[in-house]
Amino acid sequence: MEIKELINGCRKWHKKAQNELYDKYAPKLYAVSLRYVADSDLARDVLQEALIKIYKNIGTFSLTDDKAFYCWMHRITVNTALNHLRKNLKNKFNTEIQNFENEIPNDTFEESFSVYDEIIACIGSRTLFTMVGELPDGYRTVFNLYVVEGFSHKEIAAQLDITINTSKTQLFKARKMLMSKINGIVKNNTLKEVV
Amino acid sequence: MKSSEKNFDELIKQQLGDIEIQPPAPLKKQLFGKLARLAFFRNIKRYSLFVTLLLLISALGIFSYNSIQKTDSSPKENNGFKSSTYKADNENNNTAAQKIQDITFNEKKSDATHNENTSNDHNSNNTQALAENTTDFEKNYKTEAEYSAAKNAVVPIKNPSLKTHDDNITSTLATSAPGTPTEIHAEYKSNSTDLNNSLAVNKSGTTLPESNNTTAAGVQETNKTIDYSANVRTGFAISEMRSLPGHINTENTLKMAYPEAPVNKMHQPLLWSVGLNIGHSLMQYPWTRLPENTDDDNYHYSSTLYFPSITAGIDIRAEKRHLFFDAGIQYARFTENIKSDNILINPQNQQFYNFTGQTMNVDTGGGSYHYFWICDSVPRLLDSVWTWKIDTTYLNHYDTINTKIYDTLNHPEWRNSYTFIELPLSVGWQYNFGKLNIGIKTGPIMSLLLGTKGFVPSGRNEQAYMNTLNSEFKKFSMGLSWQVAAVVSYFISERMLLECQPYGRMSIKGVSTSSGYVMKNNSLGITVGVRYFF
Repeated sequence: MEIKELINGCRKWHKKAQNELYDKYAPKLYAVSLRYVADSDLARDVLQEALIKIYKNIGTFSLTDDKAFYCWMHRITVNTALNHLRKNLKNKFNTEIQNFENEIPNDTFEESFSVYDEIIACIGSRTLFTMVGELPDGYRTVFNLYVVEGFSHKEIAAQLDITINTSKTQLFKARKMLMSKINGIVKNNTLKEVV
Repeated sequence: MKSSEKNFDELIKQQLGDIEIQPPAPLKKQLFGKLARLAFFRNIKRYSLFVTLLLLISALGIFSYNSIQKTDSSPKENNGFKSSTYKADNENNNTAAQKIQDITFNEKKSDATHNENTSNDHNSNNTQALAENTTDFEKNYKTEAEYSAAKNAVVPIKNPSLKTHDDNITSTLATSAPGTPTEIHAEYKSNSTDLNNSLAVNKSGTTLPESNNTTAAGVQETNKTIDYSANVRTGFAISEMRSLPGHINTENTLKMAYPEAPVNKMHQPLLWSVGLNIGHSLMQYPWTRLPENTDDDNYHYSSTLYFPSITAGIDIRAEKRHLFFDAGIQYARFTENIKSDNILINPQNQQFYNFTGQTMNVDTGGGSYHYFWICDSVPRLLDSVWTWKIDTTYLNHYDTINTKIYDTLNHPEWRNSYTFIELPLSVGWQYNFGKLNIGIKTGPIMSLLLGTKGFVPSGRNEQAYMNTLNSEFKKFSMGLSWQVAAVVSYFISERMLLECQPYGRMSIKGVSTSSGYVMKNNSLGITVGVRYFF
């Protein structure tokens, strides 16, 4: 089924089209929700809520371009996840910084980030995904919004109702923590095995 | 450091961007269960307007019907009168219902006709018999008003010599109320020869004089119809008693028989008829408002009526005096002819290159950017990259302009047709002028979309595509419109008439699509048909 047919079918609440849309896009969107909400049960709830929003509001989507359509669904999923985080993790963005301050090791790589090129390529997306998922909620959210979605700190601050500086700090800490995790893999020689 | 951070972020983004994880299996089941429930409630919400309207109209219809029935029910209380000759009053046959109600009942001598009985002796037992029937009479008066009317009935007395008897009788009636007229009649069969006026009873049992009878006083009684009210019945009862032998003379009897009776009122039953009709629009507004563009790419649409835009249906009518209710079902197929000036469709993004005098358009749809080089004065494609990965250092050499090109439809013309099953309901009023009836009716029409044929241009501005109507409008969608029609009908026989109804209908709720099109029926037309009365 072409994307145009798929959208039209979903607009008319045809079960076949809805089913196909689910099969086609649910894995991608589930990954998105898992990136924001690390817990798989919560991620499932987020995805379900997002998909219902998508099915209900697909009539308002006027374009029939595959890419634009995915972007629209992606945006809905991200917003649903953020709503969920806002609701359940109130004030966590501020408190977590202090909590994890001491957890960030000081011996993170001081050298150029460029060394990660090969490492990250070797780690693979699944491991990296798990690592991002292990970041604290506040770090992970800001990291996702900034790095993956491409939002500015100003936009992130507005979305999460935090200050710009908090956003910057969280991103900095998130990067460092992620690097330390990668460093840990290298130190444990697990990467060597992979390589 | 900054660029390294960027690089690091980019690496992460690349890794995380396209990752796919299969969601747990129960989620799908759970989700579609929820969607099914949502679809159910969505449908309820969607059709609630129609259901509510239908219920409202049904309730109104039932209420009206009951009201009519209620007014008709009172004559049925008294079955004691035997029918006599009755002819409906010509003055009152205004409507079709009245026309057809020129029903002649079998002529029959009424039991109420008094035979010879000229005995002047007043039998006191008769009075007692009246008194015994008091209870029955009370029961026959359903309402208190009727009962009090009976009690307060005034009996004019002309013969002073009979005053005592009259008083006795009247007082008996007034205080204890006499028995039913039938019973009275049974008790007092008089055969007064003076009383030649045969009493006529209308269809409902109301007593009235036979036409052209001359009373003893020489008064010509015309055809009278009498309202079957408590007063009349009381009057009749009294007159019966007064016509007892030796007590009341005939002159008084007739006058007393109809003391205060209003004339020219008759009971009319609900009249049913079935009509077949066919109609055609004479003028219609565009069914769907198509997206017009008044920017650089000027185009607009004009819609005109096209054959066939017909309706054909059957309806059932219930009418009472001037008022009538119609309910029916009709097939409707409307067609419109759409014309436009040039429509630009299928837009494509292209880049315009000027290579030292040579120009070239390159399709950039899909977000690709193309690198070229010129070999032997011919631009050749070197490489295509995503637009966001253009190395801008190579772009300064050429003057590139982004353009959008279209396919052009030159003065396209096409026809769209829409098929419905419609349920018209209406209430109307009509008046009779001889064989001609003229009236007006109004009411809602519920339309169920069965199918569509044709095209609509999709896209508001530049993204114009010609979509088929079937993909836009969902089958079995409901719409609602309101119709006002003039009713002109002519009797071609006693039970059949020809009808002509010029109408105007206006859409209240059109059939809409998710992409913004709304199909509305605003039209003027005419229907013709025949109607048969049962």
